[in-house]
Amino acid sequence: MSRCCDTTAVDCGSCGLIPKAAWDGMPGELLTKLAERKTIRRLARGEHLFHQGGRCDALFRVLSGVVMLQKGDREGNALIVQMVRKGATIGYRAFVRDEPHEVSAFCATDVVVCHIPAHLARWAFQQNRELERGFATHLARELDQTENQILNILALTVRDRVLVLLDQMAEEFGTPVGDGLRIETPILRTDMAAMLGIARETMSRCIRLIESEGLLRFDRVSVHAPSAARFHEAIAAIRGTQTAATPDTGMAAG
Amino acid sequence: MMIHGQGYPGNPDGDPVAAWLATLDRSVSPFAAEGGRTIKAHDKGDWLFRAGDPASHLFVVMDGAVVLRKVNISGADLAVEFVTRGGALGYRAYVGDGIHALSAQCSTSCVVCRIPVETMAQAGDRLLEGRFIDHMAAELTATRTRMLQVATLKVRDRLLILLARISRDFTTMNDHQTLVLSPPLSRIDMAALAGMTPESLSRCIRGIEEEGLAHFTRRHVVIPSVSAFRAELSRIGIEEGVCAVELALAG
Repeated sequence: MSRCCDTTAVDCGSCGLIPKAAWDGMPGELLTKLAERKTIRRLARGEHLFHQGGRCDALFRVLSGVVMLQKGDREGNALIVQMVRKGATIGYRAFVRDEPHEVSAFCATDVVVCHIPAHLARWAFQQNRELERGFATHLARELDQTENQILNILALTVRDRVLVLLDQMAEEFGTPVGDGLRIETPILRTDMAAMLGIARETMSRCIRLIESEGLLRFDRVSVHAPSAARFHEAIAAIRGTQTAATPDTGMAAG
Repeated sequence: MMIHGQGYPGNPDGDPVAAWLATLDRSVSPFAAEGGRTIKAHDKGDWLFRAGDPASHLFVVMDGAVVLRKVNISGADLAVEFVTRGGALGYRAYVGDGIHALSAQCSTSCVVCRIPVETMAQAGDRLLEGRFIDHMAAELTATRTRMLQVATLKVRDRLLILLARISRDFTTMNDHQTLVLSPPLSRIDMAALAGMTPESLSRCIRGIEEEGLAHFTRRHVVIPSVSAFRAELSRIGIEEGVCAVELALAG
């Protein structure tokens, strides 16, 4: 069950969603009302922010932790379409479209979010256009990122997709260990398989293949590259002559 | 004569181009000469912008089809989406870092409305910007759905879904049994949009022809039995909104 924290612990004016200067000249009532009515919530791993098909009654900004967005179909298939990290916003797509959520959002780790009721967001956006543009910018990045993921699914082998995903995780969860690199994977292997659009069995075969190459060693909660240089060479080889990549920022619109 | 579907997700209640023009005339006309917008015809193959270009205009497609291309991780330039009548382009770069991450190429002759970014910024109209945001949100919905389909559906099924989508705006003839489509896309782009290689597309086309679901010529696709086609889409389990055959028939 999610718990509320001190609602003023994160100051809207300095949360970084929009430049601090964009708050200048805004009515004082805006910051006061936002500070009073937003809530900072802590959720435990496995808890949901919302379910697919549910009504959009709030926007979220992820202050820490990792949230997964999962989309299912009527046949029972499900795919994690986005791994959302600190700084991202969630829920804006459904908010804009005035539609039910098309994905479920569940916490892959313990998570802290800023919860902004939809009616408050609507009012705040009318007062401060930059604030809405901040959410729109995240929506644009999310679209870019989803397109990139589709292109990866189409262009890369399963092995390469696993390596690219781990490389993305290493940006936030990687720690140098001697010549090597340790990646504390924030999600279960089943979730990784779901992100890559592959079966768990395929994921297991792929892990055995990568381990047999001596590139990585997998344990229950982390992945270890004995040689960070070799791992980065492998990633560079996969990326080949890529020139127009959009950086993955973990932004998500929900 | 194309039969235009009325079910464009950004504007389910009416003609999407008329709605865009009404919004533009109200929002940007007072701020610039020539109404703050220009309408221009483009030939097939023309580029509206390329990846890396600074965003100078926002675009609304008034007729025809524009393919969006993106360089994948291996350096190949692949179609990721196609935008038809009533669709919008360029807002992502406008609201982002001001540089296009995609390229936009006319895949048919097109008529496009262009709005300079300076006019857009000067107008500062929330309703107009809201229309672009709404379009982007609809695009994200479609892209996520496509991602799930790429991960879970067979290539044949993905091609059938693409044909259903093409039928929305590019049905050239239909009666109660038969549809004739004029896809606005090359086979290479169709393959990319259905999530397969061109070789797989050729095999897929042969399979679908052997099933009698559709017949492909260089410029047309004939669906001889709409009911059989619709039944296949239903079996695949796609949501009703994706299947636009009803719209084409209604037109």
